[in-house]
Amino acid sequence: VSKLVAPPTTPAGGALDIGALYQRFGPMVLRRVSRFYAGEEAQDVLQEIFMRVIDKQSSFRGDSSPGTWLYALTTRYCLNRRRDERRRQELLVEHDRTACWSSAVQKERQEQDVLLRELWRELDEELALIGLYYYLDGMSHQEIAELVGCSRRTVGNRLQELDGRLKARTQEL
Amino acid sequence: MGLFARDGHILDLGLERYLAEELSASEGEALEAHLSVCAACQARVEHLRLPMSALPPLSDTLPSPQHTELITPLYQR
Repeated sequence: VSKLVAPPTTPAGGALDIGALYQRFGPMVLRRVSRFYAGEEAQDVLQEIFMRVIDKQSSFRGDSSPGTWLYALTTRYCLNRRRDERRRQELLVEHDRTACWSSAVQKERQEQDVLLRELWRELDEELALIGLYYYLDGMSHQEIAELVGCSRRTVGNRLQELDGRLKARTQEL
Repeated sequence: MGLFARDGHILDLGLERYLAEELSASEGEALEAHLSVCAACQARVEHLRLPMSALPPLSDTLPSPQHTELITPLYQR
């Protein structure tokens, strides 16, 4: 697990009960994946993610809750999978762009549209993740810092950078 | 980890952790207090509680040890 998934650091270690983890959090992971992928492709991604969980289970040491750890891992995995795909597309699937997101989505819609349609491929992984958590999930700097594995100051600085890029791109359109 | 978004509503992650019974007692109380007065978040949690028929069985999800050994590195970044 890269630093961007904020790997847990408590000493519990050892193998996770993957079956129990899947039973408890599989629906959550699939719902998160469904922000990025629709239909059967979402189920394929779900399988890929649990393969990754199997491979990375020794890095889970309980610093964050299993649900939080899986949520961050899933978000990062989907973001990077989208970035690796060659076809032109938006970050999120169209039918789910506004469903069930925090109402912060509506308030900052223009910036979000630019992020989702235009800018997300150009950003480095950390900045794209921070933007996603901020503009789409409506998270605070502290929450983003915990999920991304950086300081609140870094989140603030990077959001300032992103805000400038979003405003510049909005004016170009 | 906080439960609420900047606009005061519950984060998706907060709702998911609530449904997975992962919240502490105080976190659960705070979340339920919000749910009791917020129709929008009530609707969201009810949506999340709908049965999910699309979840494949675990046996279809987990690869064999050989598959893990050979294929998993392909997914590593």
